[in-house]
Amino acid sequence: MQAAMPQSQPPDDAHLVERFRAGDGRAFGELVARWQQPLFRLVWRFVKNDADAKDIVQAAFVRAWANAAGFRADSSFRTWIYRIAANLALNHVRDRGRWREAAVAPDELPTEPTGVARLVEAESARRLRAAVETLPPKQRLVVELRVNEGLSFREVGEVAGCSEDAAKANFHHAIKRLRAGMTEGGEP
Amino acid sequence: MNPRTGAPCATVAEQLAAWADGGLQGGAARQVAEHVRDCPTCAAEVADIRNLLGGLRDLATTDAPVRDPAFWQAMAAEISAQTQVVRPLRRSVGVPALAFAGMALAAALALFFVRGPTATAPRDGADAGSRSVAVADAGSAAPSVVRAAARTPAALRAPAADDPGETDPALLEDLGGFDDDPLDDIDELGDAELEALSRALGQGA
Repeated sequence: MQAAMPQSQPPDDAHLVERFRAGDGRAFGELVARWQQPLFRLVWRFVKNDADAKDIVQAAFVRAWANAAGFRADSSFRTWIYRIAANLALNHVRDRGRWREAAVAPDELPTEPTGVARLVEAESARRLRAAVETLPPKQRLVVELRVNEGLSFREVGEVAGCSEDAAKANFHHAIKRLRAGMTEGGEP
Repeated sequence: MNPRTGAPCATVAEQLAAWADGGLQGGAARQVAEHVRDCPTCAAEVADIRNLLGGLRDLATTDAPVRDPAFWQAMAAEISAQTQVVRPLRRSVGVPALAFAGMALAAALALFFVRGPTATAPRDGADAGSRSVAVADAGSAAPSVVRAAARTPAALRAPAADDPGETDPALLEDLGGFDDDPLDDIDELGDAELEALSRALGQGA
């Protein structure tokens, strides 16, 4: 009778980081394959174009590679690489001086107005999108990380460079601001 | 205000969003849950927040950039190419060594200031006495810093009014730990590496 083979599970990030730090370059490749898409989506929401998002994600991974020895074992690779990419994205948007202007142009938005309900939905989405763009950088980052990336508030704090409580406070103020923005625009 | 317990809504107001999104645990989560259960105003607010959060998630889905597998493969290949020209830094040796050097320097400075007067030639009997103490101390097994502190007049050992009294933990962290700030260490790259990196980044753009 054959012994049941243990199911092979993909190595976790910590294991891959250890392998990479021991000199296994393929382990870093696995980390890239694992995290490049979520990172790209996060960065893209800030910079709103492929070329810049791609550059920033690539730069984030190169910095992670170059600074692998400085990676703290008590934090996760995920929060570490998110932090690097988020800093680069925020700096990029700030340097381009288009924090408030980074909103997607109306003709780029997916709109299929086939009826009144669709129009109302599209208007509501437009207003919400505009409200998000007016959030201060840190509140915006906290909302993105929490709502769209599913990070815990502790992880959000690690990425945003603040405490868990400060991350919750930023989240509270961001939501309050978004609700006010939606109300000011008039309910559909 | 919660009509049953009389607790003001302000006690949970700042936690409502985090709770509505499932981000609170333990006692904090229980406190908000109990308040919301009995407070129609906060319950309505939670419903509104959840509606907004749903809208944000929908927006992220509809606006999300969708790219084909070739896009991701190309990006991974470019990252791989760029990392080939950058040597990973070995900070694990440099930073503790720097921290050690910093602490050694601080100890040396402390000793210099504390022992300075005893190193000069005695001019009277009292100084001669203090020198004899120093000579006697030199043979003891106590660490020199401890011996120096014992010789320091109490007035000098008392912290000044604006002296925090102890080393800032953040400073110790900076000296002995690792900083994960992405902009750190870029100066530690050599000129050739920086040039190769900027070349590679330029090609990737």
